[in-house]
Amino acid sequence: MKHYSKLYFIDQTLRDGQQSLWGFRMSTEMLRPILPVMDRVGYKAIATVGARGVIVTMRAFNEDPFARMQLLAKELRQTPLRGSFWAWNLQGWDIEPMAAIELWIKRQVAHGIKSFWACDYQNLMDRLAYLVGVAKAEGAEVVVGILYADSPAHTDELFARKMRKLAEMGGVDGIHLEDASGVLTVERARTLLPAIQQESRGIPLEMHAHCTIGLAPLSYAEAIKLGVTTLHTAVSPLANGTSLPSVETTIDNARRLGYTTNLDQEALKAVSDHFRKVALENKLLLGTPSEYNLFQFEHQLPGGMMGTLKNQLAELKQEHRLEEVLEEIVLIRRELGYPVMATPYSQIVGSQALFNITSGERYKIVSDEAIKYMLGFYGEPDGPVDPEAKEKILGSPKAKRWLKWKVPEITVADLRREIGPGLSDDELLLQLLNPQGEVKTRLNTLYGKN
Amino acid sequence: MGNNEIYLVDVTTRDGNQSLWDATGIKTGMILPIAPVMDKVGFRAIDFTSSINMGVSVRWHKENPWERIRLCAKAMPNTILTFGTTGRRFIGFKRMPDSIQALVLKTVKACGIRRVWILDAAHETDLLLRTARMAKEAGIEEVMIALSYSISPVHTDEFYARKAREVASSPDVDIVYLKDQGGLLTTDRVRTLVPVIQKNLKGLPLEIHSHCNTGLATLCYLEAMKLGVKTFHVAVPPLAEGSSLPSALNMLHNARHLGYTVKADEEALKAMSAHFQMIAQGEHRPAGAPVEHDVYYYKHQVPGGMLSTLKRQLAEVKMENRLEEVLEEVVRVRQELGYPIMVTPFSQFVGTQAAMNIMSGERYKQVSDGVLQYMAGWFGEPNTPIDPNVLDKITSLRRAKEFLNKELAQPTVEEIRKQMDIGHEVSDEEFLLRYSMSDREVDEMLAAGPMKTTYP
Repeated sequence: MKHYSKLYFIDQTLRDGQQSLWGFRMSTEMLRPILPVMDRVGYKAIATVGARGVIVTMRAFNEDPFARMQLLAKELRQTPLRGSFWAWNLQGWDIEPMAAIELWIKRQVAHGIKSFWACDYQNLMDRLAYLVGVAKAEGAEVVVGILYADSPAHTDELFARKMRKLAEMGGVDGIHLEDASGVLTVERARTLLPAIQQESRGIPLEMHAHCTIGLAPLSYAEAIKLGVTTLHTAVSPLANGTSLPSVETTIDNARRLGYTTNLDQEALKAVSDHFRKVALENKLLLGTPSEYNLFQFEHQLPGGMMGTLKNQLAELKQEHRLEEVLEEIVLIRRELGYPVMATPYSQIVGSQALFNITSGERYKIVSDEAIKYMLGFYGEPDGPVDPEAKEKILGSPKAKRWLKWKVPEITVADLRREIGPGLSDDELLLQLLNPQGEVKTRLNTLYGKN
Repeated sequence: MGNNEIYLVDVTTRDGNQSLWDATGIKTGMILPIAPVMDKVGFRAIDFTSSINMGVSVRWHKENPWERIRLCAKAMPNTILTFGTTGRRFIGFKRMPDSIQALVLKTVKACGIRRVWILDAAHETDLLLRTARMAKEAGIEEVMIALSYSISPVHTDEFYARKAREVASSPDVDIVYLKDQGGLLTTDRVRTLVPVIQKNLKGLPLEIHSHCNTGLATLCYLEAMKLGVKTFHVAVPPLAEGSSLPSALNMLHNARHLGYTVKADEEALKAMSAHFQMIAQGEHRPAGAPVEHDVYYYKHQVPGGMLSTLKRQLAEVKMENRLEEVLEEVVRVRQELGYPIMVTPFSQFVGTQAAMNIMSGERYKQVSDGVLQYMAGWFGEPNTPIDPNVLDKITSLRRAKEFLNKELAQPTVEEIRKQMDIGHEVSDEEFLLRYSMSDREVDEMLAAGPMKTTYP
């Protein structure tokens, strides 16, 4: 293995950091003053929020998400701005036509995004290939996610196969190896990373691991020994907890292991101080390291989802049943063939667990998405599904209508005609990102959901 | 005793307090109200006191440390309370003769101590076994020897295997524990080290005690559990994590997920934790929290408590910006002095020497008595020969003549009492305090009268 001594960093302070710890409650005003300093740090790229973050920002602050993108692109003169897209839809967790995603990619580039990470599971390869092509045609860099899970299905060979698919597909500038649940151990990193690297055909690997049970800093130290040179981090106030490792400690540890970086330490400190101040002023959470917890390996919930589940249970006045729901998640995850616990699968599994526990009967109520999952619309599951669970889900009365369903082939022109012929591309996208009332109904019709 | 049962040794009030509340945080009145609950948890033992802990009792709390043991032992009749010793010192850093060591053990036993751990960072087998013998003669039920973990060219798996074999050969040793005071153990090292120790213990039980300084202790515990270790040293929040030990509650849950049952009453543990949370809030003491992984620890190996002392010492002379230099100097001094394990008293010897080397601007211009006694062999043989240049420099110091080439004197207790002019109207308990501390400190403690037994 060739060893490189210099490390590069993708900043996730404005994206995963605030998503994990602040639930996307970072307004543009909170980040505006520090952007010129962030630009000086010397990050390889700075990531900004994707569709979900955009929606929360619109609702919470009534902000124009494209105005933030433009501001970031303008202030970050030397640092590429990284956006994102999903292969299954624009937002939410249903499977949807690609037209809106395509428009989303193009408009992000128009507003200054130079690099993308595509969240993907390598089981909808046609969609992914098409969308990567769209982004490349716009001149952007594309880094594709390989999402890690710990399960009997997720062997090193499976991940090697996923890597091979991506290498064969072409157009991939980098791999974003994501551990959303934070369950990658040092021991596993030692076999997993070489297995992926062997199939990568020189495509560089970026590490993106959450600190949920404190393992990420350890797997980062191992990853750099194995030749990974790009790490995803956040400044310390928005690091740790369910977020990513802190850039400060990562650099410190890397230095002790004999690696160097070009990051401007003073600028970094100023960025850190700024967000610490913002956190204190706005009574937002400061990230701290978490305790190790083996239960995490069983349910593998991503950080944000635990809060969502608690809220949902509280709304139903069933908050005392969290432990039961978590145990149910463990079970459903296995029955569904161990989907990686990240969007959209974590929502499919999580909502099913809520239905099963609160209705008192397993699979009595099922979501459309669970049906579509069993029908293969999300591609081949990573592991074998439990036949009994499949039968129950597809035995639901509403399953029939999806049997012959196909993802509608519609164009941006169709969307514009139905949603608002006079709308600009951006206005149309805002409607698609946050559809309300009648727009929502019309979209559902267009997408074949009604 | 089920094969799948895991046992907890609680260190909350001793090591937890020492690691997170600089040993001064817990008065007797803060333990007694919760003692019946602690007694109900089902701990395998409680790590209760040590010479540092007793010194703080006298100096800070003006509480009689012997009485503290008596009151707590009475309040926890079903739980074994433990006293820890290096076998070389009592309160303070002064090297003491064997007669004093024997008297200390007899006296703690009389107060209600049932278990003793012995830690000699030089791992001098003769000393360890001599102290174990004394403990047994004093009537101590369980004698536990520490294998103190360190990373150095000397501290190989084979080294620990040999030490394990040597101490296990004594009928006076009941338990051995792997003590990772610096939080340096990794899961990789656990996988090689624990099995070779177990193999050489001839069936004696092995316990594990690891600090969380680099955030790895919980991982190491679970690895050790898979390798058959049954007893784990833990603390309850807020006195767990940070530079303290893993959280009892967290271990309980993790052990269950591995399919083990833990002999501990969870409700009692929670009540105990809530009690100390209340103390933390009332006394404005920090709660221990997990720390970020810090690779630098593996180089300087300065324990967490020592690091804060160094920072304070540097700040006092307005040299706080030179911490990095001092830590680099720690690495050098440790190597030159033959890789002593960075645990009391050696961590103090090395840390203070490094700080003096940097602050005075000349290396080994000033040398503490502790280092001189160490060079004279009073604290055991160095692990590797002391650097000859350093040895020359130090032996040329005027003060060195006090110690070098001198054997430690071994007077009897009678002789010491006579020397100190302490008659038999003074009890052994008070004599031991006067032997180790200043009369003023002891007098102030006595003048303070009976200690408070309640909180707040």
